[in-house]
Amino acid sequence: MRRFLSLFMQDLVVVSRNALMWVVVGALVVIIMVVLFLIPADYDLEDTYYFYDASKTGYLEEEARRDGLEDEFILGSLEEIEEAVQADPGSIGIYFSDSGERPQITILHYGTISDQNLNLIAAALEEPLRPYYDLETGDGYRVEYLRPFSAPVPQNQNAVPPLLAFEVIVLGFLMAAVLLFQEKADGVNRAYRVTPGGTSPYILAKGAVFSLIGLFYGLLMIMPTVGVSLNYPALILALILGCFFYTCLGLVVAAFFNNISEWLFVGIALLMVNMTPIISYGWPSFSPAWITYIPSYPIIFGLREILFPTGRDLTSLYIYLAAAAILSYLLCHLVVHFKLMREGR
Amino acid sequence: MKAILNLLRQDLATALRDNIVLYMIVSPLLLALLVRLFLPSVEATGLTIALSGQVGDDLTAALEDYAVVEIFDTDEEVVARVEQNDAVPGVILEEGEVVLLFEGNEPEAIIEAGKAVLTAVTAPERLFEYEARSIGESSSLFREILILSLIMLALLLGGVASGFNIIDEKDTRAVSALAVTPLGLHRYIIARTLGAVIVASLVTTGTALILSGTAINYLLLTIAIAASTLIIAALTLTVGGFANNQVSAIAVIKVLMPIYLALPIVSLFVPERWQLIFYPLPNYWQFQMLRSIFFGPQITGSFWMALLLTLLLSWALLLIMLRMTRGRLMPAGGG
Repeated sequence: MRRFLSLFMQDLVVVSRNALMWVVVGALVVIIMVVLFLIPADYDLEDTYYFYDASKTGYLEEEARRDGLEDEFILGSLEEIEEAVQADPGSIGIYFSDSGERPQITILHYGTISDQNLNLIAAALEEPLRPYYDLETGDGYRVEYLRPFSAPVPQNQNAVPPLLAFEVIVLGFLMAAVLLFQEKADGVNRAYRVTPGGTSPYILAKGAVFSLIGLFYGLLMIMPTVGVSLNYPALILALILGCFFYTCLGLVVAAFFNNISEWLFVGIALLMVNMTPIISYGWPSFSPAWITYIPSYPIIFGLREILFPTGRDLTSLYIYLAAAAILSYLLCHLVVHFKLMREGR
Repeated sequence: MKAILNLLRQDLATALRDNIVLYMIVSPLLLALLVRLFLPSVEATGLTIALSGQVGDDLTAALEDYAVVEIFDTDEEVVARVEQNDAVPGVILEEGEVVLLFEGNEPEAIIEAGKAVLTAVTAPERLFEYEARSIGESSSLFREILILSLIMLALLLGGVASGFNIIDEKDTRAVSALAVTPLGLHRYIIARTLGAVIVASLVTTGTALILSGTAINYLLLTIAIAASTLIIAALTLTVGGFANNQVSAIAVIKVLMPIYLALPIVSLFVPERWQLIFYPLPNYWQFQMLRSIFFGPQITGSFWMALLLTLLLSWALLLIMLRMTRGRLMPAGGG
């Protein structure tokens, strides 16, 4: 225990003197400002639709206005729709006509949209119009929610879980590598090998330092942006286990390189792969199997559940994080013991 | 000119010796290749529905017209699938009635889409037929963010790679030797900027070719890269001037990345009336200039206005960076 505490204090002092810590402080301030003042709370990530209702009845226009669409999206001719869609290639134009027999819809879009998605757009347009034509709506099925329907999270606060997952929790991955290369350059590892210190206190001390830093970094980011009324035990557990896991992973990877130049390509590539679940976070329908295997995938959704509870059971997240922390520690122990502690012999 | 070319030749040798520069050049190209490969599958993502095998073949076939359908043997398995992290509604049969299951935390669009599909497939009669017409190459906010991030990253890496050369010269004290040659600080900075712009041009053009093929105007891209020279010079000075070794360079890059890359991307989410917050930033106008090349005219101002503002504001930034880093680049005597 004494060895661990001595190494912990030593690592804490070394890390606090590193220029990267000032960067972390600066990043924290910038993140808080961006979340509070730059990202709008009500930003809509959905596609933009432009409508032209050429029917005499005007049912589609009526529905569009009822849905809160502003004048700039309700246009007066097919040409105007084409111009609008051409000026905004991410948008979709809807031309509605009704000659009295059967209504017709033309969907104008850029690029290729799959038949499934076109059918989906048509179905979404059709549903609110059915009552106008005395057709059944939703009578053939019943809707059930497994848990009470939760109110949408403001977009700026919704950015906090990814920031925690990809800035706070992965901090140990980068910092452990920087610390390790500093130690290698200063010959600290060689000196440590001849002491009775051992591998476990060496890893645990670094894990504890970056878990502590991650915990404070995370809490200082969350409190001003999300609020102080939080599930602290769940949050603290997730932050500590997550930081410890990524610190061990950082040591495992860094142990195979001699300096930051050699490490950079692999390190940055791994960090970028680790960031890909942000796509699923923004577009929740996109969840191919490979993305769900990336450790940050359950972490990012778990953090969202902790910060904005919807009643989901978090036991599986804790089990996952505990298992990841234990396994990464064991792997790190093997690598540090057999690679780092025997290097240059 | 000869001294500048000599320094550039020296840089090439450093780049080949030190993997870091080579990695910086190759990595955005690899990233672009990866993005090109999986971007279409992200953009094509629609609705996924978890379906109980008991609902019957007719409903299954009907749902397959609207969504990717995952079929499960039991209702419990459907519930377990709905409870997973992604937003996938479920469909089961209870006492002969079709039940559409949601977890309760799905985005509103998914809930609306699920209901619309179920209405369509259970209704005895459809309201209308539709036709669809594509009027050009595809685009989406996601595509815009990814492509512009990679292009900006390629331009940034030119400056960073040259900044690393400055750090290498400080680290090996080669800069002290350069200080007593007739090269001088100004030509030293010109040589470093030239190196940075060459790297940035190659990587940016390569990235653009991988991501957009022949769909963009490469003459305009070349003009945009040339207009980015001063901002690239400022980036080179920031990395090379403020960092003394590779570890502190990582710290500088960690600060630089969000300011240079993330702020213009954040501007995409900021309402029009608040855009003026970003107006003093040269990288905001550089971003607008690139955006107009890759995604058409829906930018603040026009391409040429964005180009002019990029030049003017990056000139001001470069002057500030020169004042701040002058003493850190070369020991006294190198002026």
